[in-house]
Parts: sequence; C-alpha cells; structure tokens
Amino acid sequence: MSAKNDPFLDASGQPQLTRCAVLYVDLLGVSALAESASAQQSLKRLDRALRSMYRDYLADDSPWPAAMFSDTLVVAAPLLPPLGKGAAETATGGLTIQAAWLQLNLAVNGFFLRGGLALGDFHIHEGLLFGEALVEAYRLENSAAIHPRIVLGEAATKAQYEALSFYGDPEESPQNALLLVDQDGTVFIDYLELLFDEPDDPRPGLEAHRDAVTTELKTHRNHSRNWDKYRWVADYHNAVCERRLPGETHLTIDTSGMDRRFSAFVP
Amino acid sequence: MAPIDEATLDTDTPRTMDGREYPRHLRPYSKFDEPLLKVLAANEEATFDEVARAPLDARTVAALPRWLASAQWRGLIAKHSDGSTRRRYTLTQRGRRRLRDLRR
Repeated sequence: MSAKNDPFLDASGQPQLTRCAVLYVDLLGVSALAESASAQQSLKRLDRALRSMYRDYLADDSPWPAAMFSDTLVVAAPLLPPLGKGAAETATGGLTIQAAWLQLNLAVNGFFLRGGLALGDFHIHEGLLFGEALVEAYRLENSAAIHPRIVLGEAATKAQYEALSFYGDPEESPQNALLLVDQDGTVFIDYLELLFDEPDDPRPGLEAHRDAVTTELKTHRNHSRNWDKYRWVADYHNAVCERRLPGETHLTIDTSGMDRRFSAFVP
Repeated sequence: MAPIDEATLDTDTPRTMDGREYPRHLRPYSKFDEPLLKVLAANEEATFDEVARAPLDARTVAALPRWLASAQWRGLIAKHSDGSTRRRYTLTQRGRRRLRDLRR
C-alpha cells in the first residue's frame, strides 16, 4: 500500500486510527513445532498454507494488511470510501471469508487456530499495530473462542445480521452460508462450508480435514485440555458432513471411542 | 474434481457431473461480472492477489472470493492449481462472450 493510499496515515503522513474489521488468530501448537526435530518441515508447510494456496496472506500490498509474529496472525479490513450504509457489512463480510479460507487452508495442512474478529478503530503500519479492535479481537481469541474456532464480536455480529436485510431470503444470504451459532450462543466461522462454495468435489478436502483432526485426537489423547479442543473440531466436522453429505459416513470422524476414561485412585 | 455439466451452463442452475447445484447464495455475485471479468481479460492469467490489487472499489474487492466461486460455477473462468502453487485463474471463451455482452 503506497503512503498516499494508506488509510492508516493522514494527509501529512502521521499515523491515524481507522475503522476496521480486525482478525486476530493464534495458531495452535506452533511453538512446539518450532522446537521439534521437524521444525524445517513444519515451517515449509506453514508457509505454503499461508502464502501459496488460496492467496498470500502476508503480501505487503494487500487490501487486507497483515502482520505475523510467532504463532499470532493479525489481518485487517479497513472500511474504505464510500463510507456510510453498508461499509461495516462489506468490511466485516469480506474479512470473514478471508478468515474462512485461511482457516480451511491451515486445517487441511494440519494447523488449527483459534481467533476473534472484531470491528472498531485500528492502526497497522510498518510493524506497529494498535487499537481497540485489536484488543477486542485478542480478548475474543483468548477468552471466548476456547475451541479451534474464529468467533465474531458483538459489533461484527451486528454488522452481519444487518447485512441480511440486503437479501430477499436471509436463509440464502452469503452470511448464512458462512456463519454458525454454537450451543453456547457464540457466532463462529463455518470454514468447512467453503468446500461446497466451488464446483470442485468437496470430499478430498473433508478427507484431509478428517485425517488432520484424527491425528490431533490421537496425539493429545492423554492431554485433556488439548484433546477437548480437537473433540470440538470432530463434532463440528461431523455436523458439516451430516448436513451436507448425509449417509457418507466414511467422511466422518469416528468418535465412538472418545468417551472419557477414568482409572481407580489405587491401581 | 467434479466438472460442470456443460449442458447446464446456460440454465439458471448449473450443476456438477455428480449432481451438486450452483449455490443460491452465490447468485447475487454476478453483478460483479463486468469489473472482474475485465481484470481477467487484461491478464492472461492471474492469482487472487493480482486481481485484488487491480483498481477496484472496496465492495468489489470484498466480493472477490465469492465472485471467483460464482464465475467458476457459471463457466466464465477456469481455475488452475497443481496443489503446490498458488491458484491462477483464466478467462474462458464463455467468460469473454459474457464480457462482450455486458459491454454492449
């Protein structure tokens, strides 16, 4: 983004806050991978998922400026002119689908994330990130997301509900095709639905996701807190398969052996 | 891959060979055909990022992911990817005809 067109600099080149939709995600398990014997291989996989599949999430001149440090990625969608009715819905909706593609690309490559998407004032320029939307998105990731899901904050959710008024049938809106409500009332991004957006057969993507989740469940079987996260993903995966491809049980994750196990205090 | 059944391309409901239908939530994105087909016509092939960097308004850029999906369903563009490199998109003959029709 050139300085002239940079929404985060004022006319005299001074930093300014701009109203944005902001995504904050934490990639799970990346720290452990960085310290493992397969760090180089993991780095290549991560780089591919972030930069070489759907798009380059870290491109310098992107309409969605981004920054990544260790296992944290922040992406912004500034509300750009013409502002007014629809600007918040456009920015939030646009960033929601960017987030969904990011989450899908990472998941089928074995990387899971937890995140928050907020709407508010934000600044990002040459490595400096600042603003209330960043704080809210971080808090959503840290406290509300819990499972490997990207949750929407209150203002972002309101913008997406308001966007429904643009469609004759809200059930056929793009918002309804990309957002779900969890049993705790949290609105989160339904990233697996993107496998059905394009004409390509969705089954290879679902198989890759199934296998990635199954691997994590096996890896974390004895680590209750981590295992619970991937148990949630398994439930989400199976719910999508049952909704979209009912009867194709080979695509689902076998959760029959996933009840909690307890042992006697005195063995 | 489940290619589009060519016989359904000029209907209201394009379908894949395995029977999946053009999703209804993608239909509104045809209103972005003219600006985005123009960008692809100006480039032999383009990645998502190359299209997004074109001089387009914010609403069109935000719509790009869904428009790419919609345009594939309608046979206007083709997607190329070998799984290890970034996807590239090209205009099809049907896409060129659509652009000509829009410009009339």
